[in-house]
Amino acid sequence: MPSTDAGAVPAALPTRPPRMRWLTHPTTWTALAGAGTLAAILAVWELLSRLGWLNEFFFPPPSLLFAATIELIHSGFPDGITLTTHVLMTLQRIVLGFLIAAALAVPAGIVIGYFEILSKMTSGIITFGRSIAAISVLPLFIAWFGIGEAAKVALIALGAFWVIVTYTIAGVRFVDPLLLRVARSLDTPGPVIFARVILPAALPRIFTGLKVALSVAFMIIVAAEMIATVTGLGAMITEARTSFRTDITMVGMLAIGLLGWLVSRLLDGLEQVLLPWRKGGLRA
Amino acid sequence: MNGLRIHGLPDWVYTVAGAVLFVCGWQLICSLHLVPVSILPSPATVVAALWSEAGNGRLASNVIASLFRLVSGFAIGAAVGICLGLLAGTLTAARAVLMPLVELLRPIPPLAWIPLALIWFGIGEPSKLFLIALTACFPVLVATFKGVEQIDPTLIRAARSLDVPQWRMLVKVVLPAAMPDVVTGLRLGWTLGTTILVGAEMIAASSGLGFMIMDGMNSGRFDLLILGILTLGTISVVADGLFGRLSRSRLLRWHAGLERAEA
Amino acid sequence: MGAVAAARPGDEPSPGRPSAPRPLQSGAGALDNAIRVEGVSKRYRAIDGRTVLALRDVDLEIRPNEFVCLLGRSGCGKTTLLNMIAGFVIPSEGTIRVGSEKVTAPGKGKGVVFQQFGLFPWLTAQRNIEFACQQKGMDPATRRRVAGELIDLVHLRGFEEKYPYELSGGMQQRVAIARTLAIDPKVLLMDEPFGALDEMTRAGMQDELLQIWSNRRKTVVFVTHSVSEAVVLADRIVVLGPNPGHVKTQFTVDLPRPRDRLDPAFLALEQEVQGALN
Repeated sequence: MPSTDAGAVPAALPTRPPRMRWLTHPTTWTALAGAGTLAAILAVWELLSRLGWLNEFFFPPPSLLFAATIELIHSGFPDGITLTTHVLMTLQRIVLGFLIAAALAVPAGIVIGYFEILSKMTSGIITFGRSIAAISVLPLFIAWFGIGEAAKVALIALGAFWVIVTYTIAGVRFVDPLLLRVARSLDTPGPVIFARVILPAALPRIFTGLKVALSVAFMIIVAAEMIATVTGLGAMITEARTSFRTDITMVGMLAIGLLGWLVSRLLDGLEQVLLPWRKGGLRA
Repeated sequence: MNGLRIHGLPDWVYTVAGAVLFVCGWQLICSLHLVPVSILPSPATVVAALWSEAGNGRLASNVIASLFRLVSGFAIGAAVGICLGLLAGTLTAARAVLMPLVELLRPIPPLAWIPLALIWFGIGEPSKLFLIALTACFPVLVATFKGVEQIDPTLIRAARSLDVPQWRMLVKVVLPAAMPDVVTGLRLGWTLGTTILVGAEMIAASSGLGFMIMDGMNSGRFDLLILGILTLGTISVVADGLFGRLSRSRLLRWHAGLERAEA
Repeated sequence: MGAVAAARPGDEPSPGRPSAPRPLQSGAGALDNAIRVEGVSKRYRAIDGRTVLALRDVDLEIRPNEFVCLLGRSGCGKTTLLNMIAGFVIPSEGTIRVGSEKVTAPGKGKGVVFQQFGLFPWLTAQRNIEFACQQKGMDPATRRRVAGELIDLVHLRGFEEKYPYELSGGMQQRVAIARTLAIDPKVLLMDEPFGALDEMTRAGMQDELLQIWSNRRKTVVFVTHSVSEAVVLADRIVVLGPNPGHVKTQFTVDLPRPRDRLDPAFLALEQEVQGALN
């Protein structure tokens, strides 16, 4: 397949000594250009707001957003509940729900994936389960578990479960047949094939499932926190809306986005450590 | 594939058997009163609710309300997403302006937009349409952009050498070439759109399946609640199936041939 | 040496002329790594329901430590035949014997080297080889030693701690060969092992393979679609034809090794074999 010259340095730029080479590296340029564009947009936004063309209520300018961030960090919103508290609460629920889901889904997925008859029988149920938007189950969980932490954690666990189980099953079922042939030609007994070929081969897909499940968890937590709670980023932005604090709503949204991004980068880093060989890419 | 192998019966038999077993298990749990009936309605109760709601037309009206929002919102979002994606993929200036913005806003979960949407548009229909359109737009935009970026430059050069004018090039060369990625984006956009639809309807609506679910909880009618959840799930499965058909259809079959040739 | 004379009545068969292989001498020692293919056919059902005859009535005898190439175009069943000898595929008719045992399953001394290498991506080169050793029941110290020896044999010292993704195609295939040799196989079955490599690497690998083979003699069955590769490597070339797959003809290659690819005898034989292929 033809490849684009993504790595080539533009010929027009003068060459620099090796130490400074990074300055002309395309990735640095893209990042700087991106940051520059955003800065420009923010500047225009600020300007339009100062000129009175943009309503401060509907479109709080960057200056107000900055002030709101400071306020959230120091005095908090609602009163006393700081940004840090909100972030920790949200993270706590996500991590707990996610771990519960993983603890259930990975073993289940491995067993189902290994026995073809099980995967055939459960495929319909799993596809359906995955298609049910987790938030639609929230009222049911509230009815079952009340309005405490349990309902929220259970909801996240539910949403994450279907995703993790799907990827795990696929990872175990679709091991490269070549590797299995290799193992058989080396007189590898069945249980050893399972433990030392199938499981390692399935790991990359399982990990992908974990990453996707985490982003799903982030989507769900916002909904879960919008109902019947005061702490957590989702609750924060809901409260902000009813109090007509658009600035806090926006800061909250950006905070959630940033948090999600950070957590996903963390998982990527973890994957690099645990599965360094994945870089080569497994077939299928 | 590995593990125990079973030959003979076609796949769907097992899938149906599995589903039937599941429903029977559910009914058994209820009949044996292992779980209080107030918490978990039995399949029989849900079916009864289905019958009555379908009969008095309420199910249909809720489904139509939800579908209307979903389809219109999705159509708007997808159209905008494809246009912007094509733009960003072909014009460097557009890309420089759009992509940083998209990268900044994309990590924000769709549901987090609800409060802002309610501030901007109030509680009526516009806020929901905005939310669905916005939610669908991002994945479609990103997918279209990526699809355009990955187009084999040889194709473009060939078209240029045939003197194809810009507009035509866009529609007849670029878009078809990026189609598989676009469809993947559409699929994801639809799924996310469904999620935000439910969320928005649960929080601020008086019709639709999301509302039906919330209403079920508030009025203690758990059978209606579960009916709502199941109806939503069914619509999602059907829609996903349709998207699957689309990607395998004549629209995209020639792509598979291309991939096979390159392999 | 090894010159090819034009065919004339009364001439003795010269090296490189098509000839029937000399029959297995009964009572010869080390029959354990001889391969016997008797009346083998393979039928399978295609996706559209038709029955396809991949191989029809193949008879083949491979002597111990003989290097045999199965040569043919795509679709002539050479890979299917190899897979049947390896035990991955069961013949529809006929039997295959490796040594005195009938082939019913893979393993048991039937070493296989695949075109796409088949290295375990999560294991380093050394550990890939040690994996094979472990299945043979070696203890950790022996494993390390044997793997180390094999790494040296395939000239990969210094790269044993690398993962497959860090190795070039040629290197990966060398690890795969080393891994297969680790089980001290009775026979070595190679399915277009150099097909995924570029031209230059391929030539180097052919020479290395012959070197390894001279060091550790085994019966080798080598599948290829390249005439020159077959002439470089083989003691005997079995040419297969398609529709359905069958043995067309065989060539004995008596040219001494190492073989000069530019030697006139070599080129003449190449031409002959190419002719038989068409």
